[in-house]
Amino acid sequence: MNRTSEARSARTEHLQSAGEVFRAPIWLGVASVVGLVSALLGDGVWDGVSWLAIFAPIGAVWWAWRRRGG
Amino acid sequence: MSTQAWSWIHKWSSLICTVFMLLLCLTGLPLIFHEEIEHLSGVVEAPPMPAGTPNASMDQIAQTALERRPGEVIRYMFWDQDEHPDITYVSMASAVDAPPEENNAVVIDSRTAKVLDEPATDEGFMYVMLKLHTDMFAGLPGMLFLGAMGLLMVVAIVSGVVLYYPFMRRLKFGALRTQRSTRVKWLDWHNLLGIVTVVWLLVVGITGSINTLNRVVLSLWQMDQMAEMTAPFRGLPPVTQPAHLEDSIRTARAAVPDMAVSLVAFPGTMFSSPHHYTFFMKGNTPVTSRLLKPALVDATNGELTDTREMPWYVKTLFLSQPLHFGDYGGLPLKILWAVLDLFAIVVLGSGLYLWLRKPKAATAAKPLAEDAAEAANALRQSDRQEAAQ
Repeated sequence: MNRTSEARSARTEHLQSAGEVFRAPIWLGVASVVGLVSALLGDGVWDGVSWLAIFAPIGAVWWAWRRRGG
Repeated sequence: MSTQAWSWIHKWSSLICTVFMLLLCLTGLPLIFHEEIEHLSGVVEAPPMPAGTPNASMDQIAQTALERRPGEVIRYMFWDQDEHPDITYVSMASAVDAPPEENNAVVIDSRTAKVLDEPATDEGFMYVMLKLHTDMFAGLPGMLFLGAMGLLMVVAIVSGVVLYYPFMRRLKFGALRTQRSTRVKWLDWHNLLGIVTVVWLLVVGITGSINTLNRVVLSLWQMDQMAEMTAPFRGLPPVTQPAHLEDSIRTARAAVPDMAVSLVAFPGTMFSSPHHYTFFMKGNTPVTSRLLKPALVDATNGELTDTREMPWYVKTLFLSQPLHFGDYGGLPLKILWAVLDLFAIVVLGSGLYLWLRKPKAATAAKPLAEDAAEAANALRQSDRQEAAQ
């Protein structure tokens, strides 16, 4: 793979709107809120939901690292 | 506001708080696991006894503590029903109005009323971490200062989110360009780790700042609800020889039957009145175990004076504690807390790096805005190159 095509993979085809730029961050933010609140509401399954939801931002970083380049 | 104005806000709010935030993130890391670390480093356990062995009278336990440290007074007793169900922790001091930091601990077996340990509370690695994290050994001013730094970090986060937009308009979410300059690489890491930790770091930052106000909140409660509840006792001489502890704890349990006693503050301490034991009752869900409910019992006769829900500002403080500590969802939540804390350290470190190694062509005043402009230019150029191809 040459440098140009890798660079293309990090970039978008067009200038993004605020909605596009913030779409993923907003979902990760919602997941964080769900995770932070859920473990407060109860134990057991509430804790499980919390772990999964708070893992979302960490998972996103792992995903980004796997496809790094450009 | 212009991107340049936001850059200025982001730069200065970050620069001022970064060193302190790095300190807080680093010292906070072991504190997340303080229960596990204390277990490993061998805190005292109650010896095994047949299940259902009855507890000694609270009066006897108090007597044991007073005999162990003659001339001192008991200020607080507390219990950890989940981790150490058979232990009564006693916090003593040279006088009831000694500085709040004075804490001479006596650990007593609740069943035999025998002393198990007198651990030092003002030494060791975890103590140093805790002090650096809460007040940097500078008392209340240090604590309030760190609270202000926390609010400055909130400003840095908000301005960082605003700046994320111009930086990312031509980049996919999660872009990590590793084959460009070191600066671009760290810029991408800063943007990615910064944007995914926004909510968590805001919550931990804001609740941490609220926690620094605990003494202020306590004084408010003393002047407000506590003064109301103890109005009939105003002008009476303070109780210097509190008695009837066992009767009092039974009174408190009867008054709030669905909750367990987690702490008792003795008369004259910050958490009580000069005439009362204040029993702090906790429920058994993650929320109700934090929203302590006080029950005031007359320390001269063991009779109930009043029990009330805490006002909203104390509840806010109580709920800020778990949300700051991350200790309300078991070990997995603590591990996630630690990973996010490490992310925050990288955000702070990379931010500092990006400021120190600003582009050579940029003037010192506005490297961030020029970064954005430079990024846009570079993208336009490569667009043209691709079009030509």
